[in-house]
Amino acid sequence: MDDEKARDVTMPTRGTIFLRTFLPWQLWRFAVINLKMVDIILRSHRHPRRK
Amino acid sequence: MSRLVILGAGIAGHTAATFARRWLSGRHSVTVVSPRPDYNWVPSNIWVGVGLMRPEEVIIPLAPIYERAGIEFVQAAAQELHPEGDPQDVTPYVIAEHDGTRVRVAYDYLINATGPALRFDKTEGLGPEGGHTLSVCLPHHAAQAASALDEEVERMRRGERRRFLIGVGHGTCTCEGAAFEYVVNLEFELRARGVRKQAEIIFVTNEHELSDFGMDGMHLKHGGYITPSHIFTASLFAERGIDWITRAHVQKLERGRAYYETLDGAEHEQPFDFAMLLPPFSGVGLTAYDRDGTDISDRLFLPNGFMRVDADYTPKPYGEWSPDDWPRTYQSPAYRNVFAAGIAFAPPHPISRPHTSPNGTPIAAAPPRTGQPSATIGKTVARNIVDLIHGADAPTHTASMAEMGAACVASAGANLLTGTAASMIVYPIVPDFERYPTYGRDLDRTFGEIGLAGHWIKLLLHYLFLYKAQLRPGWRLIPE
Repeated sequence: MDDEKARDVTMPTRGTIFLRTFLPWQLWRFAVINLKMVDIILRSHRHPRRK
Repeated sequence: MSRLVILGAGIAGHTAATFARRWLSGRHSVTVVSPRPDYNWVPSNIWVGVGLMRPEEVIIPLAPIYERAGIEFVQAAAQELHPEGDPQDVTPYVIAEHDGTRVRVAYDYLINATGPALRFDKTEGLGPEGGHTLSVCLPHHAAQAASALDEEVERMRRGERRRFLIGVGHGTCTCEGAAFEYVVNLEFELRARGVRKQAEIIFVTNEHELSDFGMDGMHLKHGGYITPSHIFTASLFAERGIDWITRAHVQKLERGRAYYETLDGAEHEQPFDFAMLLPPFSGVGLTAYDRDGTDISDRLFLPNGFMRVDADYTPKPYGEWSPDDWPRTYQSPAYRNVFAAGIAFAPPHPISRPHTSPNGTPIAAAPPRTGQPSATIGKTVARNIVDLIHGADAPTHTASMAEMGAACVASAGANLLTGTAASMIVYPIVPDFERYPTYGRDLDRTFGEIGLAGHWIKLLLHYLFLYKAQLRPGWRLIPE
């Protein structure tokens, strides 16, 4: 990709990239994301037909 | 005694069949009619396509599962629906075909979960069978892509530079999420194999902006801002040196060359050495006949082959689209004992804003109905039919895509310690600007994040859902 296109894009900082694979942080995120997903799945099943 | 027949054994059909069997007593029969002998956990085809899994790891044979569960299995492709029976017998039936043999399967309730037809034929030169591009739609397509990738890696190890074109092969495609997953996995694999510097990678898509995904993209709360998702996807691509072309309709493919039109009407060419482009979808082409044998397909299906259900199909401009247009029970308006689930149902209109080039070419992502929404719809349809069998006078449960959310994990590199995946939640799938003004979605629940945890979740889902599909102990406790 050309430099101009790359310059127009938001890029992650070194800290952000580090946290993406930093085990203690990712273990915490694993729990958080799972809870968020379970919440959405349960909401999606709660639709008995309205009378 | 009632006979429930399910056409298709993908995520929607298999979910519907297994739950219906559990909820119905042995007096009632459940039959699955499917052309393939296996269940395919499609989300993992991506990993087959980059050589990290074998096709056998993403499929499981259906016959032993159904035998154990008490579900009859007919391996055949459904061709015709006869919802009024024939002049001799009013019992509705389906005609399916296997190796030239036609099978008649009678039903009292029918679920059409036939999924999509892969329409490689819509773009000249598209597809792995007679075309110039690869695919990851089916396990054997993905295995073919992995072999071609191995050859490219060998060339790059010898010092050659190679150009990879990944994306969608038509202006009306859906499933851009799968193309996104493939491009970032490919880039990760090329790095892992030490040849990344020799590769130029280009993503081509019909989306108006990256990560539209056929649902008009999404907005995420992040760092004190509400940010459109394409900002994050562009960042992800730029970080990995992946170039991208948006708003593109691939018109034609020749060996090593793609021709495409962009939304501004301009025509372009893009050379490539390796191309994985997903096809557009349509319905599988079922035909329907009344009791006298008159073709009534237009009463049951839209022209694109997807099944009419309880949606509002009145043509409307974008500004008048409403969440209420979307189906809730997936019951056919023509026959109350016929339902559709998963990709087989006809959406009332797209979710993303429609766009047409000055040449009249529609270029916009079609709405997704895969994965988790498919399973949720399959289970809801099964519940409704079971309740109808038990005496309910109308469907008892709903599963509107305007009321349900979707959780999606898009792999961005498979490694237990260095891999990542984008975990995304969108709620609701179809934006509701009355309930959630400005953005159409609940921004406290809509979410996106990239990290190693996402890869663990993607891997966990692979094993959990194959376990669930095999109906192993506790399978029904795994939420879909």
